[in-house]
Amino acid sequence: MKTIAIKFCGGCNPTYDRLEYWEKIKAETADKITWTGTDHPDIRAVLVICGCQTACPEKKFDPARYSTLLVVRDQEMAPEEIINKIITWGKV
Amino acid sequence: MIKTKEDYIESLKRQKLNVYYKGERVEDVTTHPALIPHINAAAKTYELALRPEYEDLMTATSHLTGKKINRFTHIHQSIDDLIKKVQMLRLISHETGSCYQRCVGFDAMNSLYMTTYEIDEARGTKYFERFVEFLKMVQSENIMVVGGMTDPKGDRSKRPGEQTDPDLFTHVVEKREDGIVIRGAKAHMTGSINSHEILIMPTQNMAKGDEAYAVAAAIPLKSKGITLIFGRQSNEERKLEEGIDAGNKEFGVVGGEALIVFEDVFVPWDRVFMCGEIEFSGMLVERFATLHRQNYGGCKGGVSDIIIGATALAAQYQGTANASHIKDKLIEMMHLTETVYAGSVACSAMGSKTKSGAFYPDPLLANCTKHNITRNIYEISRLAHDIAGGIMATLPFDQDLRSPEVGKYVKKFLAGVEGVPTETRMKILRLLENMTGGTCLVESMHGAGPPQSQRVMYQRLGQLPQKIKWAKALAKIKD
Repeated sequence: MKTIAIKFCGGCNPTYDRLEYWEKIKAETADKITWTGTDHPDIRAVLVICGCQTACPEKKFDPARYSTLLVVRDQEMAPEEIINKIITWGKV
Repeated sequence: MIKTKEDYIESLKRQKLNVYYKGERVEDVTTHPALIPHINAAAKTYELALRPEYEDLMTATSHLTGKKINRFTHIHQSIDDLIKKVQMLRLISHETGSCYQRCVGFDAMNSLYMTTYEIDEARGTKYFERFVEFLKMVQSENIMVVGGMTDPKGDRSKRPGEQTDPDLFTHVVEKREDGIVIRGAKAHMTGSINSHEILIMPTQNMAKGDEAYAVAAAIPLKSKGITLIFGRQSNEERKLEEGIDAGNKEFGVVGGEALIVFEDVFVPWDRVFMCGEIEFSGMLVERFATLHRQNYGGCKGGVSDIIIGATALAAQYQGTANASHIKDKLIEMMHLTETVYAGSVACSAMGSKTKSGAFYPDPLLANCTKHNITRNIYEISRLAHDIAGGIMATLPFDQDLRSPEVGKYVKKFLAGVEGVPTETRMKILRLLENMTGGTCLVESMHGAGPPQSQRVMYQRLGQLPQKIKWAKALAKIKD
């Protein structure tokens, strides 16, 4: 099992249904990934789901601190593609 | 500490405020069908703060304690905080389609934080220290605070002290060793029947002789001598019915405003944040007004998103959605919505740091935002009415739809496109009726101050002499 943090933007005016998108990812990865918050001390990988291109939370993350950081800004990439990417991440 | 919706409702049940609705004392506001929708709307500010997908906007880190707090109790520490406030308001409106009330206290706290700091600096008083203690309590308990600025004002041509009835402006009637005694009233108090404390502030700039009216204080709404009389709203009694006629039964029409009467209410000194400092009353009023006017592109922007969606559905259900003029009108509604949102974001982005360290939106741009609200929301509603059609105003009752005798006629003759049940069409028309008429429009006009009050600010802050200078320079006119 990989442990990955999930972070959302605040959702002021999302251009797609962020939660539906996330629910698909969560359901498909239930037996492969333990999802946690970004306050977890040992976290090295983060999936950030944002509602629009502005991606407000992105600036909060210091890329040097994380081995892997994936920011979703729209649904151009299907949840399945995101899952495939995450699954292939190295040890996180 | 209040965390959940359930905690919030339980806290309201316990305090047993002296609330009147339609001439009768309300024993329990949390079970009164006319008041529940307003409580539901305010409760969203608690519910959403607990969800990770909204926490970036709904919560903040207290600069006083370093703890995670509800953003509605936060003091803006940066431009980012000012922008997040506006984003948060748009988000919550998508959930409620109506006012959720908690911004007024939020703005009162921010304006008092920065103003008490400056009163102390000039006068050597201890208001800021007292206020910070109050604020820490608000943040740790996560209570809901009403911002109480508007006095009834009686004869508007007269100053507070010139009124025949001195109570038409809230004032100090007695100063004691242990505190002060307040008498008067605050009008149009949003969310007050479901709040815990009120922060009273002077209603306008005060002059020499008005010292008793220059008063700011935090008062628990359950205090002896306080009476709240709930205001009547458009079609509010539809909320008492079953069925679809209320349009948005779960949430309020606007903010659930009440008239709050103070009949010799005692306030201990540690809850008094201004008492006679007339020269700071104008500063406090202006700051509160600016912070409150900043909001409107956020909350009304979010409400307008729902109106646009409902209008598009009404057009789809009656087969007019593909007409070019309908598409164009929907585009115009979007333009008006994003214009007001842009104003709120702009005044936040151009905000500045006050002496207290708290951040403050650009006042000219904030006033411009609210001024646009007094126009754009009417135009958005007008376009919604235009597209929805006269049927919105002449729909039969829900009981007719369900009647064994005439229900079949309602279903047959009010049907729209094939595949959409008549009831579905009626639901969206009722939602639009609820969100675009009567009290909602007046609230857009007068909430956070009427248009003339914003024009006064244009006159003060609009830099007309500088504009004249630029014009003269280009035209090569020498004085």
